Amino acid sequence: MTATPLAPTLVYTVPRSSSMRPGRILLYVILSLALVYYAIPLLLVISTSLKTAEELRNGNIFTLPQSLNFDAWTKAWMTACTGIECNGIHGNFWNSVEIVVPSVILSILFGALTGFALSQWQSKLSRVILLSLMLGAFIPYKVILYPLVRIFSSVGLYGTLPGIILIHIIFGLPYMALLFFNFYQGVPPELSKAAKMDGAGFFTIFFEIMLPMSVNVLVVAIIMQATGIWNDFLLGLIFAGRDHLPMTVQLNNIVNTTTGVKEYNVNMAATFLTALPPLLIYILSGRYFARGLAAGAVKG
Amino acid sequence: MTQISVIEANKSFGPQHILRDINLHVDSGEFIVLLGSSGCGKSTLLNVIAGLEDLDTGRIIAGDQDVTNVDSSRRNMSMVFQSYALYPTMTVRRNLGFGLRVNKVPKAEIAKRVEWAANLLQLTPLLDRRPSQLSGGQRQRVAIGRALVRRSPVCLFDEPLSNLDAKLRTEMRLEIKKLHQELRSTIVYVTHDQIEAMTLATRVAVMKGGKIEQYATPDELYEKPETLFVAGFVGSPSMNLLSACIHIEDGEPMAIFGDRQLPIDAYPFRQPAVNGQEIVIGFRPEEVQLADDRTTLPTLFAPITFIEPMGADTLVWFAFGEQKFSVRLPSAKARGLSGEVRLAFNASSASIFSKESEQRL
Repeated sequence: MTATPLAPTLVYTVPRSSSMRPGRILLYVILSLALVYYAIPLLLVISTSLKTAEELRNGNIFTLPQSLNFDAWTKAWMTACTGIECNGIHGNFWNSVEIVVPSVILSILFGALTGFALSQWQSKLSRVILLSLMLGAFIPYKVILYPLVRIFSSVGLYGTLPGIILIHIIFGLPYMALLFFNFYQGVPPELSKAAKMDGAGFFTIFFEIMLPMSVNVLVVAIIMQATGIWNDFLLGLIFAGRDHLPMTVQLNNIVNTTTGVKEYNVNMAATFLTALPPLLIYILSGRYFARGLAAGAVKG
Repeated sequence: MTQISVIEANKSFGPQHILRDINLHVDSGEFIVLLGSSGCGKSTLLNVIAGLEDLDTGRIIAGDQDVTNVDSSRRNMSMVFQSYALYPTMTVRRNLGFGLRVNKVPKAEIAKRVEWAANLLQLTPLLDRRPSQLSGGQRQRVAIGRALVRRSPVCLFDEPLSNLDAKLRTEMRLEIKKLHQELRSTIVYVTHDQIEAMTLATRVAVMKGGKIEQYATPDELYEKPETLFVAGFVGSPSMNLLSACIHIEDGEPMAIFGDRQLPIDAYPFRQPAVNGQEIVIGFRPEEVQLADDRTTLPTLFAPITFIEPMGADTLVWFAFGEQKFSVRLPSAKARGLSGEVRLAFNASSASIFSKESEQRL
């Protein structure tokens, strides 16, 4: 679009009286309640993780820590115990990274390719595929866990890193394909026709023209996949195998290991450390996320 | 360069038969315009030539090769789209060079050709902008440039000027004509604008309902339309079409309009005229003149209904009963005309159609 200067009459001005209306007040009350509702658990996690064992024994959960004490964080990261091993969760942090990075990249790549192919290829068969993808996106995966375990163990992928990555790609594919299909459907068909006339093949069109246009959708896809896969517990527990357990599973192991007094501060620190990456992704990319979702909404 | 033949082409979208037994031959270096109103199949025909649509039956020959089943990316044709279809994430430079890069042309050659096209189309200062930073006319020029740098022997245009304002359209029309004369590539150009067709084409194919009504030079199309549709479609102001009836008296055919009769023995009938046949007689507004004492042509009196000044000329409207027709006169002559005027008709330059078949007689 050409950037046309906005006519003065089109500039949106906030009516002054609106801040006084009862509806407005109610809105802020509800928003504040929601804020408190979501923020309190997080703040409690942080505050508890900063306390010493002493403070934990003497105070209740709402008392504030007396100083900024990161001992619990270090312990959670390096030496927290599960059973007889006391290595903290740092190893599993890297396990999670190893799982998340390839899973996110590959599931988005294949999803985008599938979405693009389906948007280009309009036929009865492509509609059948689209419909089955939609079904795939809505089937709860617990239903097919057992057959998947059998299939994966029969081809030797069960309990391996490629295995868990493949699982995440498979479960991510339907939703990613639909997301990108939706976007590419809104792209004028002349673009790929023009590229075809220029001599470009399917992959050239995809990588050189379509993918660079999809930045907003890519950001949404990355956020959804990265947080989803990072937060996954069940698939990691079942398919990753002992050597590749993701952070979420290790967190559970640490929290559930009881030897002596429960170290709530360490548990909270481990929880916070595990939740931190998705939290950072949301905060850093919130702007793109909203933009991308809006773009998808208009096109869909 | 390359000649193109479309042979017995048929194409349907669902129940709609868009192309019906199309035969079209384009000589090398010709500028062919496919002309018709929307939905006549002209864009589909272009897409079929480009390979963007598959034919149901029929063949496409480009050069000496049957390209019916060749993918559009391998047909070595370039195309300009109505919506321009510039790649939004690329600069003008990369838009222009994309086709060459994809076809593995060496970098130095790409740079040279992009520069050449940018010069030709006055895009040099815009090379590093993105399409979103360009005006409609500039985008249009980039779209044409993208087709030109390929130096492909066949260039296809799909209503490239329809999104421009009138002034820019006239300018770009001239540019395109000049480019064709310089580069001599074979061009197939789709438009619904008959002025574009008349000014640009070496030959025009007028299409209606998935068929080619007439395929001829602009002059022939204007002077000797083959069908009633072509007669009405080509020309502005359009041809006067008056319903009449043939009456033969002493072997001399006359056209009867109500109580008026006009001798049409000068008209070159292809088959002898039939007494009582229903016809439509067509004449261009500029072919009718005011009769004076020296007139040897058949004349008729007609009442003026209104006068439409158009600058250099004036369009004077007359009526034979219910049937209105216009006459184009120099403004000086038209001034002060009123009441009944004696008009001279030249039947030899008129067009006469059968009312039933709508074909030229």
